[in-house]
Amino acid sequence: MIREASAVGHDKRRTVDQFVETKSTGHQATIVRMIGDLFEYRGEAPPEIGLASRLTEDLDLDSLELAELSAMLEEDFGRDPYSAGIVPDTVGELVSFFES
Amino acid sequence: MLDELIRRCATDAPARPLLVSERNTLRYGACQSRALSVSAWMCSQGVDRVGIAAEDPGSIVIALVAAAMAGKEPCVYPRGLDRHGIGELAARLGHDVVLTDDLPEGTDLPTPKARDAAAAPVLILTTGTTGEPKAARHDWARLAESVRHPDEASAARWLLAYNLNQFAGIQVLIHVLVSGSTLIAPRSARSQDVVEALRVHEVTHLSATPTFWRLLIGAIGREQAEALALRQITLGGEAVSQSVLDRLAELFPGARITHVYAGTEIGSVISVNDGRAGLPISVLDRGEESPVSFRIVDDELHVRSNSGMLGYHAEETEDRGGWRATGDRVEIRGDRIHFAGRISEIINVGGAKVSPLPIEEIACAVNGVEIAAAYGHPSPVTGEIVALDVVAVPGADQVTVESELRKAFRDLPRPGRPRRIRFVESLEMRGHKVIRRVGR
Repeated sequence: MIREASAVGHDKRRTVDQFVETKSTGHQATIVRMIGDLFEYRGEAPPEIGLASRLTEDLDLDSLELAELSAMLEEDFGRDPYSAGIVPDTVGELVSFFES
Repeated sequence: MLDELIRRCATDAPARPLLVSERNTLRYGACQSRALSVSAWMCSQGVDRVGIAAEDPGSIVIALVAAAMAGKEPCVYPRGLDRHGIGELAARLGHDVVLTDDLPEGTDLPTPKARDAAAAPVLILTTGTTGEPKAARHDWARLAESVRHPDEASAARWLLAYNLNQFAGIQVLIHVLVSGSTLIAPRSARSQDVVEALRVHEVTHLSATPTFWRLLIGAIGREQAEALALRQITLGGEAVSQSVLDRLAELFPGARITHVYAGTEIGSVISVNDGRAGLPISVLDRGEESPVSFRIVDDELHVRSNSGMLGYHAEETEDRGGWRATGDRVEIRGDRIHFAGRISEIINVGGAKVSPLPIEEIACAVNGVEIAAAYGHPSPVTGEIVALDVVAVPGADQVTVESELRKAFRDLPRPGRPRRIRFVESLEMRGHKVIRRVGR
């Protein structure tokens, strides 16, 4: 496991330590950071977040958190799967939306 | 009616200032003579109704008094319209004559005869925070009825913190004219200019929106407040929060604090002086014979009032004395009716109805936040999410402020927690009221 300070990405104000299983791509690192932020807002430490992590079953994100994630993605990347009518199951599916 | 008020003071105290602005001072005597001249010109135009598109408050006041003398129905246009905008509004309202700062004189024309003052209408546009502005027709005498006139009132010095095209601005003008006192127009609405005007002109009365007061509170320290002459603080035009009332009581312990529930259509309906936000539940017990009565239908406040508008411009039916839906969502908690925000501003988060006001209250209590506005942002997942625009106190660290905000929002039910927080230079406002528009 690599303990890594995630890439700051488009938002230069934030730095969040994340546990990441595989080598990060730009999109993946940003997405993992965003999900980590959601945990921070709850007042909880983020769990392990990998490509196989399921957003609802494993990470327990509720519809409001997914809505927030959708808004963050829209803001940073200009688009998001939810607005395209796609509901990704895993972090990996989310990442591949941006890499396709 | 307005003309009678001016005539009285112009006779008794012609040198007393009516309006003091940065540029000049308009005294009661001078207002009377200039208005007579302008009214003669108005009579020569063969119209019953006039638009007033002036920027200088002195010109606006002269034009309003002139219209009263000439028996014409005036309408003050919003400030800052360009020629095209003025033309469009004039066409919409049916005005063939629109006065500007360059007021016309009718020196060679005969003085208008004293009119039968039975009907003295004035057209007032709504601010339009939640839609296209509407034109409400009022009667000067009915508006003046609700203004009380204590003895020392002529020594009062009022600050104009509304625009004169707004209902609340007209109410302040009426207060000034009924008591023969003085109106001060600050250089601008920026808090620094307002504080200076309050100090230099020893302002005693200030009526403004809660947003205006919130910004002023942020710009003034305890010492500065102590040095001011304020003795009457009035809030209106938006829902008033307990925290703003408490802060004002702290800063100005010697002042009387009143909040007014009023609207361009309903008129000025009730004043509350007990230091608590909301209305006492006893208002629901007033019978229909009472000049103002209240009822709640589907969580919305309805009002029936004798001081309300006569009707909208260009609508057939006159609306005197009927029940009017206010558009305000209310909640009863104990012995109090609390305002939960405009119905049009309710945010629908996955089926949950969320009011922006409690969210803004929590945000404004966070260190480093000057003011904040919560509104709906479209979401493909939940329909809407709560978005929050924040104006930070100068010098505040935004990362820290956002982190504190997020912590504070954990006390809110989940649907109410803002899911998008942005720092902005200033909030979108119109007429000193915050605009909360979906999808910004």
